[in-house]
Amino acid sequence: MDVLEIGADGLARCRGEGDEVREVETALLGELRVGQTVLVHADVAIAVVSTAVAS
Amino acid sequence: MTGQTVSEREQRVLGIIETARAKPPRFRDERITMAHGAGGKASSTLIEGLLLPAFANEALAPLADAGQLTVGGARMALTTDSFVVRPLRFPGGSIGELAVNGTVNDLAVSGARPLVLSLSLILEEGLTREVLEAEVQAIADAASAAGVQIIAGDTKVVERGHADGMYITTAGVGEVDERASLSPAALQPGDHVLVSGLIAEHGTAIMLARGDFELDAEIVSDTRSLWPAVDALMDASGPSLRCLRDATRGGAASVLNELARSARVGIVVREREVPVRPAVAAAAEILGIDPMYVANEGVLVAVVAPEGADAALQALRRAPGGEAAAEMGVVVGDPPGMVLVETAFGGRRVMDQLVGDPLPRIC
Amino acid sequence: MRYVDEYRDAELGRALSHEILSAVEPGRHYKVMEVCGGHTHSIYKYGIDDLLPENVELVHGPGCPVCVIPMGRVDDGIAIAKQPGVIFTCFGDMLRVPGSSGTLLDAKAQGADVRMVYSPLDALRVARENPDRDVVFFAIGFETTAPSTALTLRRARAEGMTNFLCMCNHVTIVPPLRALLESPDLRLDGFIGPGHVCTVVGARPFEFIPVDYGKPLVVSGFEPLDVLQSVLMILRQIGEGRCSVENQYTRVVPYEGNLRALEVMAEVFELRPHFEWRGLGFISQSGLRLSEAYADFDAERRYSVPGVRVADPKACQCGEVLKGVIKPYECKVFGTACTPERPIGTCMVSSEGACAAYYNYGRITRERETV
Repeated sequence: MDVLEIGADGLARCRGEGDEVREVETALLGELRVGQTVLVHADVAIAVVSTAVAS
Repeated sequence: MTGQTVSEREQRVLGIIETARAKPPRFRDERITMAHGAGGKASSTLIEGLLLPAFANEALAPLADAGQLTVGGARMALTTDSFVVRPLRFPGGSIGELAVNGTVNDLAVSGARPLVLSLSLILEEGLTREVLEAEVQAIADAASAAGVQIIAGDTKVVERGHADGMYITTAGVGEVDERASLSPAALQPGDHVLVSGLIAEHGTAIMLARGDFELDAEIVSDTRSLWPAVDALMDASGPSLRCLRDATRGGAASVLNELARSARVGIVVREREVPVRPAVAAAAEILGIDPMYVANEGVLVAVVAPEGADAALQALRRAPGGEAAAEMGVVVGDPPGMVLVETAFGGRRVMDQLVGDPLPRIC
Repeated sequence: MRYVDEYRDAELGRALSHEILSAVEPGRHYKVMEVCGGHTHSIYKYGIDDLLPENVELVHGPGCPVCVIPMGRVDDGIAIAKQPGVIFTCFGDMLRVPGSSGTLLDAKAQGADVRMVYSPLDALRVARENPDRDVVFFAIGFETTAPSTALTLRRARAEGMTNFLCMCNHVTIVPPLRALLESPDLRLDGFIGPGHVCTVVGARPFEFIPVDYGKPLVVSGFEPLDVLQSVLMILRQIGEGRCSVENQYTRVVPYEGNLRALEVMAEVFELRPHFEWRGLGFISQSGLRLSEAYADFDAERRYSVPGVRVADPKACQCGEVLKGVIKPYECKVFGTACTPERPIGTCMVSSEGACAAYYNYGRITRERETV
């Protein structure tokens, strides 16, 4: 999901594939910026998606 | 490829499965669970295993959306439906509007012009006048829009905690239109499968409106009368129209499976052609549900002989809410009783009957 | 949507499918196990099987967290759900999994307050809204969902909640893989590695597979092109006589995993000495329970549960199916006593289990193979 807004409490508003918006817990990630894409499982972001291309 | 032979054991096991599939479902559950109401296999066991044998008669046997009878030489259709939706109001509609359109649509897809309805209200102690009046107005407005009158009714009140505010049952009578003769038995290999609009909007709107999960998306119910679409279809394709189905509970997938099973034909759906709004597809993906299994309240599936298919599609596209109507598949001879999907990615899979309530998967 | 659509391109899929065809040795049969239930889902959803040569067979592994929960644990969950005042919460697909006398859905029909949630955080919300009731979350899943449960428990403790409890059934993926690999009758050539688990644990814990057992493993994403590319990477390793852990899913998976997630898990959970897997039996150090620090949140400590081990039915051969030793239809009870409506074994429970898949789709698959 794409990060839209980052709150002070570790919750971020994120937008998914169909423009749906959800609150996501981001405490497991490091520095997060608006505009990044994160992988979310059970409302918790577990990884930041990067542009790295597979080998 | 290699022409690998199927072993004797595998052949025998496949035989057992085929026999089991073809057997009429039996109702063996000790208690009713929510799965019996979801429109899938459990619902079939209830209907075909318990109700159908108990009331066996010719008009009921096809398990169509409406039963037909002749009154003084005129072909009439009769249907009934109950509405237990929560919340009562949701984006794009409300229980009152559904109660009219649901029954009107069961008549319409049976090829009958809806004429009159009955209305039973089961009200929960404590329901506010404001909510009740709003629903009564919604019923009146929907009936007027669909051109039907409500000519009989009943009211009951149950104790607090019993009816989620209100339950509604409507029954409807319509006059069978002579321009088309509709029956799933008429399906032939080569027939085209059409869908009258964007699918899965209603069910998704309800799931989001329940607020069980925090998800905001602009999705509204598609509830509407399908009679204008059916009327236009009959004008455009008359005799080449084979069969129509209202894709409500269990979604388009359940309707296609019912058709394939009752006509003993196969149906191939081209996933790429199925009209789904991206927001709906995404919500379904998150919930782990296939949009093909999500309920609609204003979408029909039409099977049309090849010669009438183009005209039928144009007619559907001109009907209200039909801009996205599409030809999404084709009837084939083999495998009988099954629905296959050609995925947008180029593979194939089976689109089976729903086994239980569509429950979100997590893995 | 970024990082999604470009991985569903049918044109590229066909190109990969051709490359795979040229990477296989004619006459040789390849069995590749996708470990994770999420991959199995993608494979069905996109019809990926159809784009593979007939001598490349995908075997569905033990990575569906719902299917592996043994009957005894379901019974224990139902016993807690039936306690007066309890609100029992769990993920939707767990509701249908049979215990020895019915499912959680059946318990609900009999009056238990069983509610479906989409995340443990939702269960915590239910607990906040119902301060006078005990809210139990039936936690399942591999290392993908375990961090979410761990964070939720951490939050519950920070808020000083006393009515939120967890019945922990979290499991770890490496021990069952090792158990599979230890089996002398194993017939697998390589593994599609569980991408989402690896975002948390990294790729390192899988190094033992090539090192100790000589099989390649490719950590894979979940879009159809990801899966096809991973199959190709495995076949190339086999063709070139190599075996190592490779990462196809570099856009998400760092080699070391997510250290913060591992930290939270280590704080909240500890390994059980052993845990039972449906179809695979007891596997040591394969399950998680709440650590001493979180003992107050442990539903198994607050409520007494039967804790009775319910043996997998004798006739059930799910273990052999999982190892690729027999095909679903070679199991004694397949299609007769064991069907998707009334499953006996793990492989028939979820629609993505190997047996349920064969039951529903087998005929079609055979047609492909005999073209």
